[in-house]
Amino acid sequence: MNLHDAPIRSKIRFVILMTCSLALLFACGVLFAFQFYFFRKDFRSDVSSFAATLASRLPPSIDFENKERATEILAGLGVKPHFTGALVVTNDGVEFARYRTVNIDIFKPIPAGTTLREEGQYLVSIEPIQTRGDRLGTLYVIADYGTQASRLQNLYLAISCGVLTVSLLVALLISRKLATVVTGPLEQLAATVGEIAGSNDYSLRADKKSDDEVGQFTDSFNEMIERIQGRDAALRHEIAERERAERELQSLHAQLITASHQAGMAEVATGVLHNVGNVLNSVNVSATLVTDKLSIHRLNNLVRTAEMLRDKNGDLGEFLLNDPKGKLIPGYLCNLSKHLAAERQEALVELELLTKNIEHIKEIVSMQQNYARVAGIVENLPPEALVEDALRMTTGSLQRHHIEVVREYTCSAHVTAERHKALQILVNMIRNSKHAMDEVSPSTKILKLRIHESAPGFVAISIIDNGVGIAPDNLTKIFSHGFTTRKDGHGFGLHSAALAAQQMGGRISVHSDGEGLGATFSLELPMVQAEGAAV
Amino acid sequence: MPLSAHCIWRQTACFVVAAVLAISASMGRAQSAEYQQKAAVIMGIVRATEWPASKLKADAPIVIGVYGSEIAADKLRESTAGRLLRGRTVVVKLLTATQEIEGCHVVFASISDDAMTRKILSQTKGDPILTFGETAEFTKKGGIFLLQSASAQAGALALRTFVEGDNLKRSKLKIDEEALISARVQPVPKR
Repeated sequence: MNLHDAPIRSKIRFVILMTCSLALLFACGVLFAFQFYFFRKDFRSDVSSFAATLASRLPPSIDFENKERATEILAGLGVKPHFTGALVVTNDGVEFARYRTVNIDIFKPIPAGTTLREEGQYLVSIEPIQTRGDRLGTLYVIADYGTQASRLQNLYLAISCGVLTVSLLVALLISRKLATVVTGPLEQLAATVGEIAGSNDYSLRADKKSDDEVGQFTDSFNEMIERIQGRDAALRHEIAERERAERELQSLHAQLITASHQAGMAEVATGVLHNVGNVLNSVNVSATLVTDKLSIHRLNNLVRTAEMLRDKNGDLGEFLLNDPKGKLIPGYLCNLSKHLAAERQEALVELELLTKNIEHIKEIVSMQQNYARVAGIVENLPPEALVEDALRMTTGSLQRHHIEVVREYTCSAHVTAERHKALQILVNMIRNSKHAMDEVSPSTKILKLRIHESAPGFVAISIIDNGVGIAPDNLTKIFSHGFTTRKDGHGFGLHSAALAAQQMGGRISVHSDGEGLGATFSLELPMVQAEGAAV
Repeated sequence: MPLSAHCIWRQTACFVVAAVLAISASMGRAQSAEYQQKAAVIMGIVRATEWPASKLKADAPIVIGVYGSEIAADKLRESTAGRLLRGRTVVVKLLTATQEIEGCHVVFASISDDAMTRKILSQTKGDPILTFGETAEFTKKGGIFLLQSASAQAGALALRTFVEGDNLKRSKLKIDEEALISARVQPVPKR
């Protein structure tokens, strides 16, 4: 496991043990170095002093040529096991006495004044044998320095290992006890943090154990948790408020959609009623004309003439021939029949017109019934039929406002759409264009209806006018809910239309070069690709 | 031709003379070797001896007085020729009068005359002078070291050295004990 991810107790223990280990190793190393240095120094000094002592005792033996005594003196080296041999050589180079074996070349040339010479693991002390300034010979004492140093080294290593092991065990035991003082509050704090994180219960508080940094940290943590608790409560309240507002918004949105639908329906109904009203005007005119024709006094004159003829029933001939009034009756009847024939013809014309208008009303109502009946059903529809129906539903208004309609149908592909929604969108867009042109009243109000393939798989029905146009700032929010530039607008017609287009898998876009430069609204609907399958 | 009595006498005389000469020469050589050994021992002990500063001044030579034997004096001279003892030169003097003992640091009495021995030792008494003698009376009369030639074995001379510890103590001289051991010095046997 990575040390960074280890518990803080382990980290502290590791730091303590590492520190102790390094300190002990350093101390042992330094002590070892010092001991070894002093051992070497003492060893050399010991060998030198021992050799000097022996050399000081040897002159009489040489003086008196007492080799046995010299050998006895050299045997004193036996008290120190590291002395492996010694040799006394007289001035003339003759061996005088020997102790044990001398297995090195003691006569190897050495620099003048050298008293100690190292030969591998051996240390050779070269001591002159002299008395009162008279040199009698040389004493060579050989000591096994390497073996002693190796023993000492092993001893120190064993001691170091032992001390290190014991010290680490003690440090481990102590750190286990003492680390709790440091890690206990931290672990408790961490446990509290974990508990808070797990349960989101911000009423929990860490227990302060001391006044040290951890205690201060605990205080700060508790204060922070308290603030978080406050903020959490505020946030929860705010979330609840937002959820409530969201619910209200959704409700409002639903209401608005319903209102939009209702408004759309109202618009459609208004169009229908307007068209029907227009026709009804003609019906009314025709009916009035017929009524007027039928209510003229001619029929009264005919009734008086008939009563007059009935009264003259006995002398009708006389009356017709001689009476001045009777003489006028044939002419009158002739003119009357002509008038009645003419009136009949006029009435027939008016009645025919009336019949046509009634048929038109039936047609409008029938179309609306068709749309109402197919609402919610996705169909494959020819876009030009949709456009023409929309035009028919708005033609009266367009004619009244002297708007010239230009058709540019360049795409005959069918689209998949809900007839009612698509018609509602188009009527809405046409009415918007009509309003836009009314606001500026150009010399010629031209409404272009263009059907074209806007993108692969999509057919666009564009409503292009030369009306008031749209400011660039408004282009980005024209489909936003509640946005309108008209005084009597409610701001959800286009929004509703956009939503309806999305529901049908299409979209509505708008383009305008600026205010006074007209606008283009496009309804893009999925194109039926093959075998009636929409993209 | 038969030898005449005169001739025989003369030949006998010559033979005797030759024999005497030969014996004398042999004795001389033996005596020379003996004194050479004694000179070595004396020199070794002198080297191991410390005199009081009052007796042996700084840079002063060590004076060895030999009484009685010119050979002994010669051998001592040979042993010290060109050498320093304790960093000092050594002067060997053949003493002819006891008055000369005063300036000596070492006295070797190579005599057998007890009267002369007493005279010499009375002269050195109380003075830090290292004394060597050759007779048993020497140590009894106050001498320190006794040098005795033992019987020769296989033609070799054996020199034995005895020390009279009490006399040495009284002389206020300090002698390295190791030197006494190396010189195989033995205490004078008590009788």
